[in-house]
Amino acid sequence: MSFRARLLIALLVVVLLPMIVLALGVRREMRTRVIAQSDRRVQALARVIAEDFDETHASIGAAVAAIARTLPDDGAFRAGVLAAGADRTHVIDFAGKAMRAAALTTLQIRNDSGRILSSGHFPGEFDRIDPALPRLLSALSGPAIVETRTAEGSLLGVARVDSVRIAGRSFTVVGGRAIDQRFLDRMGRDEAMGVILRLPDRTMRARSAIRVETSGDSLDGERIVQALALPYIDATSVETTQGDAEISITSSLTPADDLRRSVDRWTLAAFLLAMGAAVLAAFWLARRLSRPMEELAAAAATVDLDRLDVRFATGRDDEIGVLSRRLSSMVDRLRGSAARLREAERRATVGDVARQVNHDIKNGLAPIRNVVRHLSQVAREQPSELAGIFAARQGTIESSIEYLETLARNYARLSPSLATRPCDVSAVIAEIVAGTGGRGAVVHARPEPGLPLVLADAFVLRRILENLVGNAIDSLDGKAGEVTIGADGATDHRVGATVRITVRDTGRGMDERELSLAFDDFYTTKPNGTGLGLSVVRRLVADLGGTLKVETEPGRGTTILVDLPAAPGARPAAIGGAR
Amino acid sequence: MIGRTRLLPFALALTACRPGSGPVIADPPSIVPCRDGSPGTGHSDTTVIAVAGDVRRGFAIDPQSAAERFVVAHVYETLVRVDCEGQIIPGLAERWTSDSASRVWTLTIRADATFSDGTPVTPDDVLTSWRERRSIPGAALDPAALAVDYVSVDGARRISVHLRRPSPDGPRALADPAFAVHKGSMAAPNAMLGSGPYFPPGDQDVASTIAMKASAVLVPRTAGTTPVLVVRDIPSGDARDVVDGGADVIVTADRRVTEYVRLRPGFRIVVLPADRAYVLVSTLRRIDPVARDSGFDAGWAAIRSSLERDIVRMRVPQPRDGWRGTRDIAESCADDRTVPEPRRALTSAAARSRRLVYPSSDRLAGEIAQRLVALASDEGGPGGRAGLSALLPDWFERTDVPLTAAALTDAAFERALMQGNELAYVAVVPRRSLDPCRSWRRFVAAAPWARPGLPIFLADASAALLMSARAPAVMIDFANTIHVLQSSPPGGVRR
Repeated sequence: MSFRARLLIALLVVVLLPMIVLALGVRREMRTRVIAQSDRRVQALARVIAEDFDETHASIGAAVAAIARTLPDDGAFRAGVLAAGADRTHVIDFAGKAMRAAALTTLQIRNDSGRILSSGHFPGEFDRIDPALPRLLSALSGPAIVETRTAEGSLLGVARVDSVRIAGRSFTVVGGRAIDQRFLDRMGRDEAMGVILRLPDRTMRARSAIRVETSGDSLDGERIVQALALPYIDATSVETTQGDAEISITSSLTPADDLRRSVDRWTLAAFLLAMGAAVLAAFWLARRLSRPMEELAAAAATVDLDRLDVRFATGRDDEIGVLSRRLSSMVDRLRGSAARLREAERRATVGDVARQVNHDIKNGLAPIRNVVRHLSQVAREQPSELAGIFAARQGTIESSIEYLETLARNYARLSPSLATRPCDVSAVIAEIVAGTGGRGAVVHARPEPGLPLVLADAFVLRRILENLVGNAIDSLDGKAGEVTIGADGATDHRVGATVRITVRDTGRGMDERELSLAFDDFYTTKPNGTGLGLSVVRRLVADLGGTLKVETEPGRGTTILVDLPAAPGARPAAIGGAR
Repeated sequence: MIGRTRLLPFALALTACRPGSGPVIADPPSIVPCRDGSPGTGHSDTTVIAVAGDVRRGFAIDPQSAAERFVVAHVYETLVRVDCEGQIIPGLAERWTSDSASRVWTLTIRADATFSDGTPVTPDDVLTSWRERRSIPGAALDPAALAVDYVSVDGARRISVHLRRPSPDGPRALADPAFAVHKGSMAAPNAMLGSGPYFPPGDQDVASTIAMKASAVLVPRTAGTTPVLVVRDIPSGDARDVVDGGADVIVTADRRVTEYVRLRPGFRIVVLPADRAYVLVSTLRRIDPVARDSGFDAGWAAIRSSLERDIVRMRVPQPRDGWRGTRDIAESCADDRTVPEPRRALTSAAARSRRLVYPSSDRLAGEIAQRLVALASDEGGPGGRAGLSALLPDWFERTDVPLTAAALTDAAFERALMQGNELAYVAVVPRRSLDPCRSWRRFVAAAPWARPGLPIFLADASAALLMSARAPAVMIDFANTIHVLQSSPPGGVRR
């Protein structure tokens, strides 16, 4: 995880967690308090509604009583209800006029048999008989909700009954005021509360309750806090019946929910804002912190022995400034060390080259020295044969001289290039064998007849074999022993036809440690060795596209196997015919 | 319908037709009934008449309101008139005879008949006037198109009218205002001259108060004063204001005004003959109006009695003729090919309401509807639910949903009546008509689903004529339009 991501997560946790906890706490506390406050208001409203009902009930009672008191004094009414065949127009119209004068919305005047003599809210219903309504109302002491018929349907109201006697006959006056939507709306003025009137067959609700989701009679989003029970009389059907009604005052959860949603919205907004700020701060801080570190890392990545001019110094006083100064100091020290190292390497390289030149020259001079010693011995012991023997060994001297000349040219170029061409391994082996001897070793050449030519530089091939044979002879430590140089044709399934050259000695062999170091530069077991022989051989074999293997056993000798690719289609010429 | 194809025989009749052989002489009645012949003691030259409705521009062509009918009756004349008892009395024509089939009536224009500009009224003026009226839009329902086949001119004062159907009791159809005679182009309706005793005011679109001056026909130019009739509308608010406002003659159907006038000294109240009837038209009714049973008659009688006593509260004089029940419609219009068959199917029962609707502008209709609703829920007596059940059994068989009343605006009521999607309607039909089936034709036009047996006559109604002490003598015609009488010559009315 990047430093930037870690920083971002840390900032988010530090900023947002407290905010979430705070929001949840505020949300819960506000909802609790809003609901408690709403409940107190509902209870107050319930008291007001109950008082309103009582007041309305008393007011209706006073109006109905006043109307009842006027009836005995109304001569036209008296004549209309008592005299047979009298004009009853006045009686029929009386209730309508009295109802409007008394600010009532329902008024019926009935005789002692329950026959409606006059109706204000339903002028056409005179003569209908309904004795139950005044009887039921008389039995009630408090307010009652009454539903009466009108021509257009029904009328719901609070009603009272009173009675009067005229000429010994009893008449009842039933009057009331409507409970309509306006009435309910007036009761439910508080927007956060609902007033619901429940009747046996339906429910009415004040329209003032705001945004209360309801379906039918359900109270989704509302809580009934107070309920006021009232008797209900249904006088709309033929049989007047009594039931129960209830005025429920509900507290809408909507304001609390609105407040909660508002808090949620603000919290979310603050949350998003804080998160955005945290992200920006994390990026800014990470950038501020990681950028110099990235710059240090980038600069450090460019540090190399060849390039130690990288500058780390900054003007900062913080830890990054300390680190950059330390890095600059380190680079300065590296720069000094590198200079010293290069000087040492240069000196070492000169010595190595000198030792290799010495080694190669010694290899080239060895045959000449052997021939000269041989000629000296012949001249001393057999002078007559000197000329013949000189003629026989002259080639060895010349080839050695040529070898040394080529060696000199290559060193002059310092970067020898290969001149590969089909080359006869047997001829090279013969030349090598001809130049050996004199150190107690018996060198055998056993190339396979008809050996295919190899694709190699003959000079390089001779350097390889000179080194291998020289090492083999040296491994005999001056004791009697044999060195056998063999060559066989073979076929490798990856590279095709090859020629395997083997140089086997009967010397001391190598243990595992010596073997693992044998091809390293400057490793040698010889007192005057350069340590470059086998390493040069390995490099030259590789230059020729061949492979090199070692089989050795301490005390029993070593066999070097060199596989070189055969020249395609070339066959060997006479021994020594190819250089 | 009089179409263009009728123009040729109409024109040929101008010169070719002669009175038929053996004409029957029908002398006009010498005494005009239905008249309040005693003018008030304080009669003056200016008389204020209060009748309902404005007077529109072009009212002469198709008078609608009572005010327009009043003005037309005083500005224009028809050849004959029909009084409130159905008697044919002279108009422009002083006498009339018919052929033996009572289809061709020859009328003689009175010698002194002149337009208000003094030019005499000729048969050609009558013909021109009728021809022009026939061409107006909507003439298909006009009585002129339905009653008259063609017309011929016979001499300088005689005109022969060929009716579509025999009319044994006289050329009653010609008393319709549609046969009023005018001079001038109908393209300029306010410039149309009439031969009546008054001439109309100047050019105006709609007026709630207009003043008509007596023309030279009524008052010789040498006379000192010119009688003036001021016609004013009765406001829709409190109509009693016109009583207090000094109106001399008031024609009103408002019961409150009549009751108020009873309390005022110096006013006389004349209840006019029934001119309209409230009918109950139910879309569920299935009773055959002709073959009704005793239960129907008993229920009907009880309800009518209750409504007339307690709702209408007025003993309305019955006209000598006119409809009294659905049987009258079915019988009188059975052979009338001009009465269309029901041309629209009723809305399905399920789509209909359970309401009894009435026009909100008609207070009496509302009271009748409310009373019917009350009776529908009253279990007692033949005038209650039992009576209604006998009349409309389907009301109480289909559902237990209570019947309710609903007031509709006039436009909504017309739409509902056209669609037939309410349970029942309290509607108004004319109580009498010059053409017995004309009212029914109009009703069917308003309720295309109606059949002659559907309307149940509930209550007759009429207006009351309220006359102050200054009121002139007036008479009432067939349509309860009042005519101001300026003098009463021996043997008849001189206008």
